[in-house]
Amino acid sequence: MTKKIFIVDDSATMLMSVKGTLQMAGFDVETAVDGQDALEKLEAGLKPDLIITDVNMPRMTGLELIQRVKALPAFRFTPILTLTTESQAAKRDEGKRLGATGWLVKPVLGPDLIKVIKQVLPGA
Amino acid sequence: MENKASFITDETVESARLIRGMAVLQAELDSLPTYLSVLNEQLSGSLQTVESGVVSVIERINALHAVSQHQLDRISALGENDATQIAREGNAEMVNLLSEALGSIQFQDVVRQRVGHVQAAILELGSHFLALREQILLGEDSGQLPLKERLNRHLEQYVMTDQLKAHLHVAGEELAPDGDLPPIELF
Repeated sequence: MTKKIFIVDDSATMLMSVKGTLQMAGFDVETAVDGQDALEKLEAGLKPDLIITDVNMPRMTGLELIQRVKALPAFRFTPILTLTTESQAAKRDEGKRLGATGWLVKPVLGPDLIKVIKQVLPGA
Repeated sequence: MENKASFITDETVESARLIRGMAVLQAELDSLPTYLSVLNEQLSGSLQTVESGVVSVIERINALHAVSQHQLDRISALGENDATQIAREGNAEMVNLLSEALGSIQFQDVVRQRVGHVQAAILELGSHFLALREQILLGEDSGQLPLKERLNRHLEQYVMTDQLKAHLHVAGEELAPDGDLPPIELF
């Protein structure tokens, strides 16, 4: 069964490029433009196998999104990767504490991204 | 008496120099915000051009992939044989190349954020110079933040280790070794 990946990023070009990369690799892809948009889509019934989120976004940051998503029983075990320019240790530690599955610092090349996804989504 | 006259003459000449100097300083201070504003507009224009170029490239890549997939589906429909296998391998190779190209586009997003930070700093510097001008020429304390405090605020806003490193290096400091973390980490 095709795995569904939910990408959250406020940069239109990032959304387009990551979406294109993942679709070419055979994944179903949904997108949101910030944390608030993502949370609304999840609460409306979207059920992704994996969430990939940026950290620095307007309205709701990626870290707040992780915290809110992990508090929802339906998504408690859904893996969440961050894909961000944020490379400071304190933010990374906070992400880990809030329940992020991994931390990827942009730029990450397509094949490397796919490799990480396959590690966190066995059978993908 | 002669000495006093000479002293007054010297003072007058010096005052005239100072006034001319102040006029030059005023002109420079007046023009600085304009220079910075023009620079900011140029940066915005360049960013927009890059952004629209990138969007166009992504659209072309996605379209190319769609065409390739369609062709592969047509070949596959003819039945499995050596030619089908060759086409499948060729398609996989192309998908890999396109995927790499799309991944590279993330560099643009990194640059966009870096330039965005520079833009914000330029605008801030412009307003700082305006305040400085008022303070020097009118003797009014504009209540602006000292430049050092402004720089420290920028330091807090950096999100990339490279930015931090560059800022600290210029200030004669170095980033602590634990600031270097792997770009990909699974917890």
